Amino acid sequence: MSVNAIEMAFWKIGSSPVEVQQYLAGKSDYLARFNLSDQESQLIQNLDVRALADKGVNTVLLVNTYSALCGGPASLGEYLQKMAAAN
Amino acid sequence: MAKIVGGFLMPHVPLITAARDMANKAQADIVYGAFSGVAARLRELEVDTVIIIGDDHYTIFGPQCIPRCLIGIGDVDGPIEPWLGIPQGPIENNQPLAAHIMECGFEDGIDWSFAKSLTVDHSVGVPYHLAVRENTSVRTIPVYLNVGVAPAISSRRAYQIGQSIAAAVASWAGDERVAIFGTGGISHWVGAAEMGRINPEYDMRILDMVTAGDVDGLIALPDEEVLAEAGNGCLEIKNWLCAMGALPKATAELIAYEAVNEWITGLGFAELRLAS
Repeated sequence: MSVNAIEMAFWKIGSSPVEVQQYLAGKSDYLARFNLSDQESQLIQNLDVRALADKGVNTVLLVNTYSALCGGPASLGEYLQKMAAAN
Repeated sequence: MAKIVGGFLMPHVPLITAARDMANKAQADIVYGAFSGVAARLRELEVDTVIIIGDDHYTIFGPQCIPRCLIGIGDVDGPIEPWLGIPQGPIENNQPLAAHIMECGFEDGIDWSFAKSLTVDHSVGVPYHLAVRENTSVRTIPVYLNVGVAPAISSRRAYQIGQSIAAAVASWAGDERVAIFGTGGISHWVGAAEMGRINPEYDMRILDMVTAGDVDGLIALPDEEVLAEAGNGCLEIKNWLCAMGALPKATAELIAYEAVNEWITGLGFAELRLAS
């Protein structure tokens, strides 16, 4: 359980379209390979980028993987809305 | 004997190519004109090799290995992002010179990481596409500094790497005419809640220091201040410092500055000119 594990999972998901598809096909199973707590896994599955950023996860990585999962640069506005949300 | 004949500082924000039409046309024209101007200067200077200093965006390097400084000494291709609007494909490297820079760096105490095969990201891909590609005989050596994942390389070390690159080029037996690009910046917040904010005043402060040749002042800027005033993307001025380290006797001249809201970045261009 750590920022490192979250970043590893996030990076792996966003590393290729194949990984994106594998993740989307079974999110919990995909994330089970990483040393994540249930809460961390849930934050990733919910794409709660604000909470992840508050934990110290690299924001460059967050926006990259969010974009890979949510339709590319066009998803930037949606990402920013999530980042602006107060926890 | 090879020599560095010029240097350029320029942005590499991916929206320049990925979202050209989103930007104010007048501003986009100025930015694209600045890149075209750099391409023209490469021809005037008879440059045959460009060294592009970029930084990864947690894209090509993951948490398992984050090189502090890396040079591509072999095959190069890219850019890796398919959405940039840039053709993906091979980028011709000057492999012998790249290997020489690496070997000289080892002697200088620069523990280069090296890539025998490297797919670059937009930090090299955008400057290559807009300022190098049309000069088809120019070869490109990619260099990556870690400024995007904490702990970032120190500004002093970035400058020293530039000095080492310059010494290596000067000791190379070939007759290459080399230009060096420091890419990235200026103010932008990548992925942060402030994303979209630009700080033109701080950008101008940076550009004023560049044009004044205030290397010590730039090196002394605390990362914490840069992050607070101009965002994580502004740490890319370390790439600029690397280029400036390779041209310590150059005078920097401002080419252009535009704060482009649609590209969420303050974009600055300068040329590092050597006295003729």
